[in-house]
Amino acid sequence: MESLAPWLWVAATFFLVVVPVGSLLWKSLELPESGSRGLDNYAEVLTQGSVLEAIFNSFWIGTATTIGALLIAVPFAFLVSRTDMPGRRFFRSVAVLTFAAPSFIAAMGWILLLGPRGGLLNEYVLVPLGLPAFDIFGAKGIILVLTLFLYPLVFLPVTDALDNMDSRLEEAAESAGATRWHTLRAVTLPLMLPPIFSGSLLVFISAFVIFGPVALLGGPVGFQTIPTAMLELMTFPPRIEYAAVLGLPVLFALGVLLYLQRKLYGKRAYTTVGGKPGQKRTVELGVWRWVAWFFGFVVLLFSIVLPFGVLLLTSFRKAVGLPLTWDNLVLFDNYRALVERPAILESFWNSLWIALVATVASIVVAVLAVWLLERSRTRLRPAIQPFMLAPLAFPGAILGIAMVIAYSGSPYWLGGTLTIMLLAYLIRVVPQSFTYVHAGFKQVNAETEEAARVLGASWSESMRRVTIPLLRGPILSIGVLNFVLLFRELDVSIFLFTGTNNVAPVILYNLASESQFQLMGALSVVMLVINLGVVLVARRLLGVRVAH
Amino acid sequence: MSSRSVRPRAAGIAAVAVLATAIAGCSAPESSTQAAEDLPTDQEELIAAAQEEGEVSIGAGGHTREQVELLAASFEEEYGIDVTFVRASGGDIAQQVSAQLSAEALQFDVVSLNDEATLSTWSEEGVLADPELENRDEILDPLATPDDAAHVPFTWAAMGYSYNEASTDPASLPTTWSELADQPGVFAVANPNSSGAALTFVAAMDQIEPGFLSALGEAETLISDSALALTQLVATGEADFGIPGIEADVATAANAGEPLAMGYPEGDIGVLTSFIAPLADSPHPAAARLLTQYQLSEEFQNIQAGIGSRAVLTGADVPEGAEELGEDRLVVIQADELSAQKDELLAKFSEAMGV
Repeated sequence: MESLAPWLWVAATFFLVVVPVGSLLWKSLELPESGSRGLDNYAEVLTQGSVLEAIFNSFWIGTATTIGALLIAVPFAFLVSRTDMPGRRFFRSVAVLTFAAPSFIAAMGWILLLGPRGGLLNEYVLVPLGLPAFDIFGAKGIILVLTLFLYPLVFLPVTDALDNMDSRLEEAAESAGATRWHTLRAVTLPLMLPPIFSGSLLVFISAFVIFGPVALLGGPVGFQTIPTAMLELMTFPPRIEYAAVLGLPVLFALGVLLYLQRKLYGKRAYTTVGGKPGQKRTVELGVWRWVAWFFGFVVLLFSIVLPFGVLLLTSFRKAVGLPLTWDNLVLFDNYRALVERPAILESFWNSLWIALVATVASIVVAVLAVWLLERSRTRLRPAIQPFMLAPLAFPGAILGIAMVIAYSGSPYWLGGTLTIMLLAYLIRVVPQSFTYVHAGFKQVNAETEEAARVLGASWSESMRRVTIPLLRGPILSIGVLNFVLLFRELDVSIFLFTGTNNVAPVILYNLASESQFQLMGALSVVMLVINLGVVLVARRLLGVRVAH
Repeated sequence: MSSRSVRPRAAGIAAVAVLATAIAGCSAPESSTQAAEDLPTDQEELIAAAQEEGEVSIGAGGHTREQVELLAASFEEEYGIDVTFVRASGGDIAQQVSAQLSAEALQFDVVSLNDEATLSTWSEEGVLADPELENRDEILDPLATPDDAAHVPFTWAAMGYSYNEASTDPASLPTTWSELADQPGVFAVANPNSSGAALTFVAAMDQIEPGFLSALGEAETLISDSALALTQLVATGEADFGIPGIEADVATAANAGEPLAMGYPEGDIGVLTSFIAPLADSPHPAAARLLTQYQLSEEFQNIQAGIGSRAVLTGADVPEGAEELGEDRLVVIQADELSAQKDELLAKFSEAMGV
């Protein structure tokens, strides 16, 4: 079985990365005018002034969002994992719910809250207090929304790392005379480096390629990033040969980040998890407990309560265009209208099982890849990380195009099926599954596995009984995160949907595009409730650590 | 090479092969063996062939959801043929069709778009099939496509402006384009870079009132990349006027309960035409042709007037409550004209709006 592992990884990578990305790259060399192939499409797109400006914008939006996410996520993770902050279990449980709605819905929610003229927070809070109205349109609005939307990508792995870290290392430092601050700086933070870097990488790249919030919040004031500028170039008329070009700046950024990662902590050891359970020290905050609680409350308020609260309020409105008065509110009419649509139940079922299967499969691929990278001597090792992260470079719509080109025709004939949707979902979450499992793996002591092998356990036994149990935390957290992300996956779904393979987020998008904002609000709330249910069930039945 | 190292490698290759076979094991979709050009010319035989195919799929970028739902329901009732559809923006549908063509695996049988330039190109490249319409000469002259083009118009909408009835007094509405540009307030303006409808509007306004865009550029504007955002901006009060207001989109919002309405300045007015065509390599060519013909039939043209969609046939019903617009007021921009002017129009828009 052990000797088969590289081949299984090659097979998975071939279908999940090589075929779709390769098809896209091949297509990008096509020159429709001359019927030949060449690099002209790259030269044509990447020399456009609007694209160069968009690349610059993407870099600084990505950087600012990452800094914002770190400023929230790292202290928040420390507070919920290592202190006696009140409500820490609850805060940890629900953080992942920022992802419970597609990003464009979150952006629409923020326009309803902080639109400069009609935003509810501006109208009922800021202006009555004599404060200037906040203008959500533009770069600062995008950074605010993306920071609140993406910070869990850092928060989750850092919390896991802190949970797994044996406090005796910190105690040893303090007994040697280090102050608490010095211990934090010299021991705790360096040990958290892999998950901080992995999470930051995901936040940076996600902010780099995200489409919905930038289109809705940046478009009105002419602010563009790479996906909005390039999708504009390839949309009208359709130029799908430009699609792969879109991934090039992101692949470059990814390459730089991976190089930095290798430079930063490539040869250092971060092992903190062994066979013996570690001890976790709880810092008692005293009166600062409630200050910490207030910090958590504010994070929760802005990342979940307000955006979903406004969608909840919308779900009780007759129309968003009518003034917010009692006459224009309804009780359950919009929810009843949802139930009366048979396609919704079917789409929920489809979304549910596809998200579940893709989640499990992505973890299997990730564990396999990480094991090969960290424990084996295969010659494939240098290729593993780039291949596992490559799908990150392509925004959802581009991945959708790649999937159609690669799999809808001969010899696969998957066009219009739920299978192609499942494959696309799997590809979508492989990079983050790999990143989280990798960060977790770096903390696991190889000696425990080696001991099991010396005692006669086979490779699969040692994986099943030693490695995977030690990785339980990151695996279960990424599992829940993936499920939540996939249950509302829209960007790829909208491209692969052909009328017969309905999934819930497509229904949500259709409601928004039909101006049925009230039904859109109601469906978003239902999706949030389902995700909340999954998080709570996972926590109770599977023992997922409360962060996830 | 030792047998120890050969065995796992062979097993690995076998695993890859099994996986490939499993994925490739999905059989090719059943499709008609009949090419579009070989379809029966007799209508009864065409109907029989379409019914044998039993289903048809449309990528609806030129329809509103209400329009395509009505088409699907009426066609199913008339012929007993299942209709599936994807309603998305014209840009998304055009990209989906391009990707499907690239994979040589069309999922759609019929396509509808507002973007005539793309359809003209596809028509010339043989991507589209001739729908063999018998009543082609009944299409309103300003909207008609050349006889050798495979795509045909099926509805049209006037392009005025949209506003929120709950917050704007109808008595104070501007009655000319220049009055509109001088109105206080915020304008949500569709970006001609990202939609054929918005580009058509910019081209039409360049003929109707050449100074309109510059005047609008002096006002406070929000540029919108999609009809979805345009509607939301006007509905939520972030903008006072949506430009252009497209009848079909405003009707969709109004049917959803939003207090949105259309305003029509006096004089000439731009027209947004929606086109439909069967795809040449469609898996269901007979049903594709029949659906296109049904969309253009006098019977269905009158049915669609019931939901406020304007007919393209001379003498067909006018939707109840629709603004009376004589042919002499309509400014229709032809595809070749639009393609030729595209860069110039986009530059004018960017200069006027400062984007």
